[in-house]
Amino acid sequence: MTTTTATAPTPAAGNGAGSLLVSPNSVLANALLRSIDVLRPRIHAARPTRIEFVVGTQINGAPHLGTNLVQTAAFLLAKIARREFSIDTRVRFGALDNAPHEVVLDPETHTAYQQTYHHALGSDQISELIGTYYREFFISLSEATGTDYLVETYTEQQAGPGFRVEFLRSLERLEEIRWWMAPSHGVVHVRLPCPDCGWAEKRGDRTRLARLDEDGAVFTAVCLDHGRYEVHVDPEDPHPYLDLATLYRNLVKERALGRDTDTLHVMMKGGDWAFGCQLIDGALGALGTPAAQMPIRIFTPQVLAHTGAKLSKSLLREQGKGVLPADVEPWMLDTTTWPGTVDNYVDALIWLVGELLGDPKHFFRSFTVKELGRLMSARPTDLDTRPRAHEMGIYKRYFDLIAAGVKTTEIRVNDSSRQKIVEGSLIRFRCRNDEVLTRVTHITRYLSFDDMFDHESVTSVNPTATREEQLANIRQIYPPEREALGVVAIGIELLDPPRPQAATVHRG
Amino acid sequence: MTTTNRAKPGGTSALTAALDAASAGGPRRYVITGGPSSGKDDLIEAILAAGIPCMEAEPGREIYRKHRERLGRHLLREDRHEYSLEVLQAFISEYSAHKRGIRFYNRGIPDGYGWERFFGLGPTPQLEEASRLYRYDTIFVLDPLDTFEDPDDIVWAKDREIRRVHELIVQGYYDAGYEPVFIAPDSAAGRLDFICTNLRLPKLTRDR
Repeated sequence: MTTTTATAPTPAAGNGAGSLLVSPNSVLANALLRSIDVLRPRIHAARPTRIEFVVGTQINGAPHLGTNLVQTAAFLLAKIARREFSIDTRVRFGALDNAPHEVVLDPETHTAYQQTYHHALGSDQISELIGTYYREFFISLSEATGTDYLVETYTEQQAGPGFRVEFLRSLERLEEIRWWMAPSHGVVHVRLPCPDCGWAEKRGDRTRLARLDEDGAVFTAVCLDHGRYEVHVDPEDPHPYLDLATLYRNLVKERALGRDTDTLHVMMKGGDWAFGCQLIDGALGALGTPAAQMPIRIFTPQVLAHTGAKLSKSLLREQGKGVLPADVEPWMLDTTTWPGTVDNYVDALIWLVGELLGDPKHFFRSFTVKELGRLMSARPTDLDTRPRAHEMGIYKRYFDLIAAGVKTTEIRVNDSSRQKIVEGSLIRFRCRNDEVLTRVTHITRYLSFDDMFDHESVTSVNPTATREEQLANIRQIYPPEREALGVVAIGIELLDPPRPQAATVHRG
Repeated sequence: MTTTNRAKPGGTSALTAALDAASAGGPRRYVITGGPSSGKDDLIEAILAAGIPCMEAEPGREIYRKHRERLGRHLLREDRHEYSLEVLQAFISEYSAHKRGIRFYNRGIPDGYGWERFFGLGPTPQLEEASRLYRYDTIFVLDPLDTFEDPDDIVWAKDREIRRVHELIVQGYYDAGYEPVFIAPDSAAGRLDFICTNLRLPKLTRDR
């Protein structure tokens, strides 16, 4: 018997008659009851204190539906994982500001040189760019899922000692990884921009590793304007800029994050990455990465044109919009053109991804853009008019007490998702397919459950159990390390009409 | 960044013996060419590291820099004529200076056809004559190490130019009457092995 806080598991949606979605079974889906279970073995093995969902995105253009789908899945999974594993979660958004902003050909040799977005625009403009495409979207996602997030640019990431140490370690084993990083020819591209102008050889044609020792690595390269130059990569120095190509960047990033024993980093990737990750895993194996440090990844549904090709900028560039069905809505290709507010868009996306996550068969598969359009048009008609509210899952017996208006205090541990709740916030309590809307009347934070019961009315938390019964039950749910986060007592008032109280009296 | 297998200077005993034997005979000239990002610099480095006589730097690069310093800017189309003749002269000198044995060349005289065409120019009479008079024994064309299909819109057109340079260089050799040998993407060591096999020289990696 619990007092208030535990959450009833959500039943998996099926493929029954009348279902919105019909998906075939797959090996992975067959092994899972819930999509989130894909993380469970690692959670059990690592016992992290936090789970971080890591999602990287190019910032060199307006996002399309596929991009926002991965990001929404990250936030939603963070919310589900927090509930499922009682572990604090957050989202780490990696803005890839090392994307090429401009490429020129060296007039002398026609070797391609490139300048990254970071070098061309500078930090302030990069921040503006992230703001244009993502800030409002993330704020809305964060609010809707009660999930914190942080934004980190590639520039910040590569400047960190962890990334640089891992890069230098990889250089020591370059012979073992180079065929994984470049299976066709074994030539690994590393770009170290000229310190004077920021331009770098796009394919590292004349970039050489001149020395590698305990002081770091010395590279030589040739600038199209400043001639030959030398740079020294040292873990303790954020300079020079280290611009790694996609596979190598992911190898170094995943190796570095894998060493964190406190936080489990879950790599969120579009489904097309599954193929490329084989190479990264080969390189991780070649580097002798221990099993406990191997990255854990979740591949999200690919969004496809009707031909089966992934919806991408390059597809649209090469084939034109004719590659897509005529009825594909413009916002699917440029989500900033969504005909509504950001909150409205986020609510629709959360509903969509929630439907997909409802059954592993639906989530671990691909969708044509047309099919996603069909699903989106089937979203609940009241979605746009429903007030934004924090959502909390809760067991039926407590749900009924709230719905009857007799439970007016809800107790949770003070993890990151609760820190956003303030007086006046709306909370939607969910139980199976039912829900009830409440408003926060007051919120008080305490050091412990004892401290909380010293100040809050016991009957307002649960009118059917004594303080001792409630304390005993709460502590069965929350281990000491969770209680150590602090306790939050949330005063609530019912906004929906009160329902008749269930006849059965539960104790505890 | 390159990760070539670095051979010991001087190469293997079998290769050294083969090179010594070749040096007793007449000159044998082999060209390594290809467009940008074909791995040419890495291969030249591997050839030199193996102790095989080879022209280290393209003469064009030094001459380009000299012209650029004089003009104070990168060379434009109208500067090409004077520059090309000077580069051609350097290639002819390099060609003529070699009298005996094996030597590799970092690009060859017919590369000029491709570069002239890239700038919308026709071959000069001097280039036509030099191509006829100064013949190489084998032309090795390095296939590009990249597909030049960057997913980014902005840079795509530029990358396609690289492909065009490569194709024009190859066409130039056909126009000059050569049948080039194409070398598939591989590590520099792998490509050098391929060349050695083609020229019936001992393979570097097998001997080591």
